[in-house]
Amino acid sequence: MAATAKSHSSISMLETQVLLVLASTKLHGYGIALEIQKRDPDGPKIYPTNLYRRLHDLADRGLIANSGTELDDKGRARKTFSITDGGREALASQTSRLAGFVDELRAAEGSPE
Amino acid sequence: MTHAEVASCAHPRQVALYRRLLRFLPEPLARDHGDDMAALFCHHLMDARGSLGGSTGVCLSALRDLIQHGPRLPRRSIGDPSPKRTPHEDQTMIERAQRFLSNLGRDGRYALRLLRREWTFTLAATLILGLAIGANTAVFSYIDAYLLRPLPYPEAENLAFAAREFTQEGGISVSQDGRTWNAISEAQSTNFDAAVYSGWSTSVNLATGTSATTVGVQRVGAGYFETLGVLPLLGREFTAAEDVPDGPPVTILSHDTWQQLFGEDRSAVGRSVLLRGEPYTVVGVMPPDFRSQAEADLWTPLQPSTSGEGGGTNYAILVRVTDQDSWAGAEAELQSIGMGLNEQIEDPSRRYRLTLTSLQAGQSAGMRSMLTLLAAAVGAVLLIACVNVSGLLLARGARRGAEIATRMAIGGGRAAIIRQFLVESVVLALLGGAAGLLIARVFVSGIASVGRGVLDNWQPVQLDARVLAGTALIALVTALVFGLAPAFQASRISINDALRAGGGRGVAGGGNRWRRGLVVVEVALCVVLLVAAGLLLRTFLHLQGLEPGFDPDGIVTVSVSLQDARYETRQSAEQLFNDGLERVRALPGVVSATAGLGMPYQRLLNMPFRPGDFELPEGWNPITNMMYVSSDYFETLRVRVTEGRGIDTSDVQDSEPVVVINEAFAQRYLPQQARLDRTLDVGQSLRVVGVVETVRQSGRGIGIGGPVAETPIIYVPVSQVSDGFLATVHTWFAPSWIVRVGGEPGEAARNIEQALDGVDPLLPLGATLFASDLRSSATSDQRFTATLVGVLAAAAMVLAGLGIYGLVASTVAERRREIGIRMALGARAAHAIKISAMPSVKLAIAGAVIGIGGSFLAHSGLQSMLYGVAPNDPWTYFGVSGALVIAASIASLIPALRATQVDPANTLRVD
Repeated sequence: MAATAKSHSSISMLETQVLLVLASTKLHGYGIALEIQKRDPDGPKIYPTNLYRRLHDLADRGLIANSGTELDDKGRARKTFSITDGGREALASQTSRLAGFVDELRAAEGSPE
Repeated sequence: MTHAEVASCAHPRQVALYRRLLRFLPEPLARDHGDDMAALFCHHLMDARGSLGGSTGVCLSALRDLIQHGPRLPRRSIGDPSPKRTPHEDQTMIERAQRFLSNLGRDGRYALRLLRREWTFTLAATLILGLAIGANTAVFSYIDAYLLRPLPYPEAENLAFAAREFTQEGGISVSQDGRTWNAISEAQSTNFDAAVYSGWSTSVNLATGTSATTVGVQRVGAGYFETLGVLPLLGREFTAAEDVPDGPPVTILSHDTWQQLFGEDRSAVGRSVLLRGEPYTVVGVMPPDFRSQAEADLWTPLQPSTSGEGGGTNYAILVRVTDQDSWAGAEAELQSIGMGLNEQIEDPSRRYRLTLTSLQAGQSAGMRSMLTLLAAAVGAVLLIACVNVSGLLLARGARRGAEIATRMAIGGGRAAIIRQFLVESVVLALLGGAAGLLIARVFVSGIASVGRGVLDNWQPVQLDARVLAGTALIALVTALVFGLAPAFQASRISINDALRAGGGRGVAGGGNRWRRGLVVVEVALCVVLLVAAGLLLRTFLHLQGLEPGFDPDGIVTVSVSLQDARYETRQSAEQLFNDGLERVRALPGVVSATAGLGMPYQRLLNMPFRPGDFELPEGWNPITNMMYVSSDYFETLRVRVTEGRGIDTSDVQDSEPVVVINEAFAQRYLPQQARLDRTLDVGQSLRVVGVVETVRQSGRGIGIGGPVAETPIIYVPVSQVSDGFLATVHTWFAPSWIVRVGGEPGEAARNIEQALDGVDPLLPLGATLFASDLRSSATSDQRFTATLVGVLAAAAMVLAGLGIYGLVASTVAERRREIGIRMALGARAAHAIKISAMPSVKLAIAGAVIGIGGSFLAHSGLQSMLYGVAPNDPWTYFGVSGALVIAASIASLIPALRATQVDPANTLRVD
């Protein structure tokens, strides 16, 4: 699918991180942010509007989807998201793209001037 | 973090604010995920605790996040399919704001382009607005300095005067006597601190080495500086032990005086300066820029008492309330102190209530009515300028019919047209405001030079950020006032008519209706201003024209401060006068010379007296003005002696104590009875040996009101006054040599100064004044207001004339075709003039009638500033309106004459 391929190529770092978190569990936006921060404590802070704009984009591109609601401890409903098959596919291609990039970095680091 | 934790977030205010900002995001997102977003924000806040920048950095980042990403969020829930977008629904508030700003920017650029193209219009409007805004800014900077800006003391809002509010006649006085001060200082209140001082400074001589200079000295009581809240930079202030009668001679220097005398040497404290011929020990130096309640170079202890100076109301009492809540308590305490003092006052008209009046209000009381009048006058000029520019814009709007119609035809809404016009007005107003700031600088110095001697330079008048903000506000309000009518008028265009008429007449009719209304308003405002100026001018001329009671030609006076230890006795002072007179009389061109405590047109000493062998007439208090004079006083001033004799060389220390009274005194206290040989008592019994014509004095003394008044005066020979009396009056008043010269007094003045300078080289001479100077300083308030209001009224008249001119000119332009046809059909030129100019003249008459009505209402407020002319003086009213209608006719005729040059054939061809 050409459109999907194009979408994959323009996945940002933050979007990749979102997909990575959702690959293991369905979660609400706040939870996603906390999880990313937990995995990458030194990374940049994730601010709410930016995060939800990415979630919008990912949903529009069919990489994630609404997966219903979850009740919190006060009994309030929070909307959660889950990864789609397209999302997993995109994550995989992003992973191999990044792996290639990491190989290149290592090679540059190891080679003499 | 759970939602419960969010609710109890340690930063509730920030989170609440963030939630409010979330409302600017598309509604579905805020609804579905607002809680999560707030929770995340709170999480960051908690995380940032203790780190550099902390919560502020998080708040700023979150704000940037909102601004950067908010506008790009779609207006639906996450995952919903995107609907067909309609341009309007799709706008978030941020987008709308962005669009609004970009429209505004476009309108602004368009306005600038347009204004540059029509540069003559722009220049005219900028100049008109600049003059009016400049005048307002200048007057505002004065009002700011005198009435608004806090006084330069810490917590100045807690400072006040102890004031007497007269129970019967009303009115407030901040002058107090020694008894009142004693009662207040003994009160030991927890609500306030108080200090006593003398409200004015006097000129005394300060000897340095071999020369002498005149310095201003103010006398203040112990604790005065602490009460003001400014302590000396070096040393200390006066102690209670120094502030008693016959206390030690000590002084505190101003920073400037310290620099001049000691070159900032810190060891100055403890050293002495020769003041009034006596060594004074310096105990303190005040900080730079400090200003007390009078213009002073140094301060000495007041040494208050309840007799002599302290027997009269010659003190002021400064009060600092502990805090704002203490006002009421302090006032209540003062009131009960006042009740005790009032028990001893028999005359009910002199009973008073002791109260507080804020220091700033008390300080600026004398300026308030004058500044209010000026503010009203410049406000009126600004309104007229607005009306004028409004008229110009209306005419311009009429010419832009085609442009507006085109814009509307291609979909520009009415709001867009109004916005465009308002933006143009704002740009014009800002240009006018910028020009106004430059012009204001000129006006401020102009006001200062016209107001020399009138405006006490109490606080520096400056064009600072406050005034700048004031100007910006004036400019923006101005823009709204002059821009709204043309904007609405222009947007009410009929597209069809305008396009068909080729750009001219589509809006002209309606626009001119507005403009006609504006001309009426303009003329009415102008009449109000002109009438005020006329009344003030007539007051000034009336005062100038009053018979002075002496011959002012060839009079030269030189004053000298005798607040000096070497001249504390009558003998030494008299010797000084006589030495000076001897030198002056020897000069060529000197006709005669004398010396005396007071001069014509000046304020004199107020002196209570007891009638000796006559009854006090009903309704008059036994208090008069008094001066001592040497022989030849009446001869030199050419004051006519109407009965008996003047003061002459036969009146010596040991001869019978005598007094000469003036006609005003005689008429008031000795009506219809013999005046000579009566006795009156001013500490000693004096026999009346003569009556002289009344010389006009400053009305601020005791007597009839008015700036130059015929007040009761008693004259006593200088040879018969006591040492104590001389020492006391010389702390307030400087005596003068008065010389009459034949010929040009300017030439003689220099010789006189030189001659007198040699009498005592250590005694600096005061000002050399001519009779005209004396008169003009007595009428300086009137000259100031008459000049300023006159200039403003003239400006208003020019503006109104321009407005009428513009209206007629555009009427002629619009009716060219009609006039052309009429002339082709045989109408005469006179008819063309009549139909062009007559409507405007009628408008001017209507405006004048409304203006006269307005003046009747407005000018009763001028009453207190008018002398010799009633606020509803018919001559002023009709003179002014007549002049205005004539000016309006001329302004109408000039463009109307152009109507006669219309070539009928040409106009018909053009259309």
